[in-house]
Amino acid sequence: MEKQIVIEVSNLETTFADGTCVHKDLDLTVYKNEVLAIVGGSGTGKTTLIREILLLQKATSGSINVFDINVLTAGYQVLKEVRQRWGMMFQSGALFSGLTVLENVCFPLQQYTKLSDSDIKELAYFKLSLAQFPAESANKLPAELSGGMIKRAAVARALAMDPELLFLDEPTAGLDPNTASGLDELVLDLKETLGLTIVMVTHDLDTLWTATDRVAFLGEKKVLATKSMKELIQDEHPLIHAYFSNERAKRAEPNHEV
Amino acid sequence: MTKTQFNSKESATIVCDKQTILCQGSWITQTITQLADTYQQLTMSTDSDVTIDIRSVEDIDTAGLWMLAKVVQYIKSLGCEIKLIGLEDEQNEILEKILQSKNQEAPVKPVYPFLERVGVNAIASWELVISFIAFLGEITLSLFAWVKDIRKIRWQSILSNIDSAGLQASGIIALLSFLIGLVLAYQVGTQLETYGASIYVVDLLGLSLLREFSPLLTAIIVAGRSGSAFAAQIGTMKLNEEVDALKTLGVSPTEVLVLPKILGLCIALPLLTILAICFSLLGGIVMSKMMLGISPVDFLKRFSDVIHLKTLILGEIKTPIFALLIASVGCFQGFLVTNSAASVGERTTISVVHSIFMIIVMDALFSIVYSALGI
Repeated sequence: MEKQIVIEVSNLETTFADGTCVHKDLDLTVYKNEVLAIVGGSGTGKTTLIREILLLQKATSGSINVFDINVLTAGYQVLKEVRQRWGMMFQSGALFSGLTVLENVCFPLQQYTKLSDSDIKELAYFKLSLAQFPAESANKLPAELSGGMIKRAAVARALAMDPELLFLDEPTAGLDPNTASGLDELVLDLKETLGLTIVMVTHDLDTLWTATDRVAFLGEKKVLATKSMKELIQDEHPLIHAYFSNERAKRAEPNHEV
Repeated sequence: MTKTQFNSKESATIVCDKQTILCQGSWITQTITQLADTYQQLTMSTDSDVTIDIRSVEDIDTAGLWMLAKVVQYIKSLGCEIKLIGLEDEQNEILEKILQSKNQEAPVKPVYPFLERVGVNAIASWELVISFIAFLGEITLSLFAWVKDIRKIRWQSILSNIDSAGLQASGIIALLSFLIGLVLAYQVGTQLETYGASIYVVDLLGLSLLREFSPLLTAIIVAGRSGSAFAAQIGTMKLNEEVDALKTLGVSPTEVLVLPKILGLCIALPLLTILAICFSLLGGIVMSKMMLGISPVDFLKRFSDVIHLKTLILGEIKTPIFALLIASVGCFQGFLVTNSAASVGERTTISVVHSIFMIIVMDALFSIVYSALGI
């Protein structure tokens, strides 16, 4: 079966107002039901790329197709429907600080469905359980949660509208190894059971090894390679080689001998 | 059952044919509302098993599975055994998970009875007063530290506060003062004209503007403009843990954030008041000329005869006190911001309300003191 394309970015160029160019002739393709990670050194425009796909930031030129819809030219109504089909987990959670976790998850459901309040609440509890967020903390405010809980709550809110496409910005940053590997499992679980397509930005080498199908390496303003981790570390390109040949990267390899 | 192109016109249906429940359409988040109202109207005999057939469902997501679980539970509650046809393994897994994990509710925070809330609020208000006094003490201590070691004074920060709270406010203060002088001269002038005592407009304008209106109005405008900005700035820094960062570095936030603002405003507000006096008098002169026919030369001559320097000083003396109130209340409320964006807005509002309140109370106190001293 031919793989279905979910995101297709081509010839993307991004130049900021101050003249710094971050992307030039950047191409990226994401297939259905895969976990794709975007890696690259600091300042290579990983988060910018995701924000451009999500239409939070304007690209200078190029085209971005999501679900076969050109999101750069699509009209308001079409985009409204597209926005219900994707979910985003922001780096610091971006939970609404004035609402409890439960209300945060209820929020998109209240916006887009006509379900009764008790049904929405019940559905929200279910979404929280999908993200493995402990139900007894659902009435807490975001400020009362630990880092790991905030990430899970953010995933639950991103899952609220049952998106087909989920974006994760640094899902494991700032978490203890235990919670981080729990989040890796969650990513795999979501992909397997819900058939999601997941795009994430990460620096976490353990996540790259365990959770991803393919990894897109950003450097020199474009995607240098999009391969599985195993193939990527064999790549000869000096930037990629440097990224994966340091001590930390070596230690994270699954067959690394201590 | 793969996920197909989403179309908002799609629908989900559930029909009952004897002991078979036929599910059709797309069971997705956008459509399940239609099912929520209908599934409880399904009727069937409880004698034999019920089959739920979802083979003709085109599309089902987790919300759809959740709805399916509700249907399953409803039929079980009628006392029927259930057979499901057409569910894939992963979907079955999720369905089981939903069925098992029902009825979880997080503890809701208790709502206190009215009297208890009154008590809690009263104690909180009292503590707020105490901590405001403590805050003033802290400011005084930091000021001593500056006096002891002149090199510690943050001149640059003070100057930038004079610029943002003073210089940049001068336009709006000048304009509003001019209009107030205009309006006041008009109101007073119409009354005096009937008695043929037009020239006394100068006495009235001079006294009221110099002693009361200009200091008071300037302080109120600055409270709305700069006091709120202080609260919002410090509040956002607090949210961002920048205040904590300062403390960790061993730098006192009062010294870095509060003192320059207070000193800056203590310099800026008296100057702004003088500007306000000038422009409101200008407004008065313009209106006197237009309506009462008093020439600017006559106006100023009369002004220098009847208004003494004392009047200006009595008005100006109040302004540093007002500045201290505005800046300290604004900064104090900023430090009270806790963990949510809403609380920044709340504290900013409170800072403006409190500082205007205190300015007016303080002005009344000054009037009492002046009259007791007979000046």
